Amino acid sequence: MSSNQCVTLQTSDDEQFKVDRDVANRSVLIRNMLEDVGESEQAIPLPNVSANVLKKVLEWCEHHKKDPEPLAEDLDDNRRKTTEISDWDAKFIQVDQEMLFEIILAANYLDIKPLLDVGCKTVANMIKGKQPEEIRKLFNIVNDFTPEEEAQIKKENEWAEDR
Amino acid sequence: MSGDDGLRDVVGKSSVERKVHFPPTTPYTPLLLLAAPKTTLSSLPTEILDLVLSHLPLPSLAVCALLSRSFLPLARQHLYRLLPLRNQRNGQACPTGASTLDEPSTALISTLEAHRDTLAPLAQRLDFDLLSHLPAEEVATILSRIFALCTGINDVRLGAGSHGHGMGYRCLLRALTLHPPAAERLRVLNIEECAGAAHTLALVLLKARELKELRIGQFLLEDEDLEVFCSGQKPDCQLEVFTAKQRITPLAFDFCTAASGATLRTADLPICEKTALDLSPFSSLTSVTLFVFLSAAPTPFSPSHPSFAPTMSRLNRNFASTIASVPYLQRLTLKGLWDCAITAPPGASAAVDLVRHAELLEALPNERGGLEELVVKSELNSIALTRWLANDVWWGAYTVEKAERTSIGGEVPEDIPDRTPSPPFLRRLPCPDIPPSSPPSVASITPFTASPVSSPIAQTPLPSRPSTPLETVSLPSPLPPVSSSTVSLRRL
Repeated sequence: MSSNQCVTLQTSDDEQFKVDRDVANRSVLIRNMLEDVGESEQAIPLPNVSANVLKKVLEWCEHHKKDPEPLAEDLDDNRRKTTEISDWDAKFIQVDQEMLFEIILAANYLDIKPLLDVGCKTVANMIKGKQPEEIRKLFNIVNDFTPEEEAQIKKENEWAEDR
Repeated sequence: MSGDDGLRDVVGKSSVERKVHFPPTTPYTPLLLLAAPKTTLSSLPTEILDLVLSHLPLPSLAVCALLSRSFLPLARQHLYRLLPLRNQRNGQACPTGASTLDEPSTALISTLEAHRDTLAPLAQRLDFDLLSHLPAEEVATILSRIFALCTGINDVRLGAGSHGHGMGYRCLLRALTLHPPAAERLRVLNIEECAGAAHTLALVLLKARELKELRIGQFLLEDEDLEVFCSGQKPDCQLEVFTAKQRITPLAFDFCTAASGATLRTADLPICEKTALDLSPFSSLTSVTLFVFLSAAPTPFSPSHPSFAPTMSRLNRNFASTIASVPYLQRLTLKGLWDCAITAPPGASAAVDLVRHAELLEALPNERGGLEELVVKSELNSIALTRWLANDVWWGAYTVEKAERTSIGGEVPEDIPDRTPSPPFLRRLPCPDIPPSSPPSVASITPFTASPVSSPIAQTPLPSRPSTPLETVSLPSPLPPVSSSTVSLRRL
């Protein structure tokens, strides 16, 4: 494969990854950088992404390199309410919590909306149907409300419980 | 300040103290001390937490509000951004004397009233499913009360429920009269499921001067409505999006878009066999969706009906001239929608779709500059789909990007032929002049029904069509059932 079809990416921990351009192009950030820089042999620095996270992100990009760009209508509010994830993505995102959040942060930084969506939907699915205490335990969240405050908030949002 | 003091500020005392336990031989390594803390849900940036919450239903959002002080404001924003108000019995008529709204809706309004300074301002959208048999005045009172309470609402959807009682437009007009500032704030109005007199809708639009997005159903505005009720006035709103889900008169279209010449970007319009729409005044219009609306009586749904062929011919002409009038079209969607679906015989839409798409596309200008994407959503026999995909005169410059079909007859249809690797020489074929919408040979298309079909089209060569090598694509055999199709094409 000729070098102009490949792109070198350099992670925060100074590892380099050589990937096909169509894989790298899943990231809008990288695509724009490549368009701005033009043909270049230089590695693209990604100071916010570490090697182990980039490896995972690139695995996703490789699998989805031929996906069409999402249409604007796919991104509207109503569609967003669905939390369905494809089988491959669901398996891909079966990682520990820290890696999940790192993937989400990387997808946000690299501007890969569909991957960001997969990550956020996964977190949403972890929250759905659980009680506050279960969610706090799962994500290590400290309850800093007084019992009175908690009761008041519960009352104010009661209308939403059956919706 | 020593280096250690600085570090102590950054990483906290306990971490610095841990440093003394390192073996003395280990060099001082700030990187080790400053190793990034573990990423947790709470440490994610607000915009990402916002995205996570956007995937949650209301009951889960109510739970998230209870997690901690940092989650509360985020969850509240999602809980109160859209107000879903429903009536008793989920849209059905409620018994006489019953409360207008269901319990959660009543509780929601009470909460907003109790927290009018903190929660009420968070509301931006109202989704209100109207009652079918309540007096318009009662609904108008509720609406105006909410408009007065939630001054941030700029996006309103009024749901079904009027069932032809004309309540929708009237109660909205009344509510805007009771609380005039709400009309000035409206940016998005979706009343496509409501009904009412044309002049009432016209009066609503005259009030909503800042409207950017308008979605309506039927709008049969006539000259008399304008003269009698509107004193000849037209709305000031500069629409960016206009969609009409049912029949509208050309006058209604002109009325709605009177001040939108430079702003209208997206239009979703019914085209009937009677008139074409002139879209030439819209200099920013790039995305157009057209769907069939037949208004002739007796409705010539059946291909054996004597007026079927002439009706289709007029319909195609109107489609083509409407499309040709758009100055700069980038995305065109064609879809089928049947106003009189109940009265149409089985398979009628498939039959008309076949003619419409096959012949309509023939009438489309071949060199439509700027068109980047064409989407066809239709209930369609796959034989017709094969026909369009197989003709390079229209599709040569496009690649099939996404094709989805759902079988209605239970049997999964065969794959749509892959046109992506068309040999390059095909694209260089001169596009011969297509005869102007020669009367379609529709009289022979009788057997299109919702069940698996046997069509003479499979054996009959297409009329007056220049032949290209791809037209020899073999047709599926046996014929698959009628299927719902979406084809998305992009310019190569």
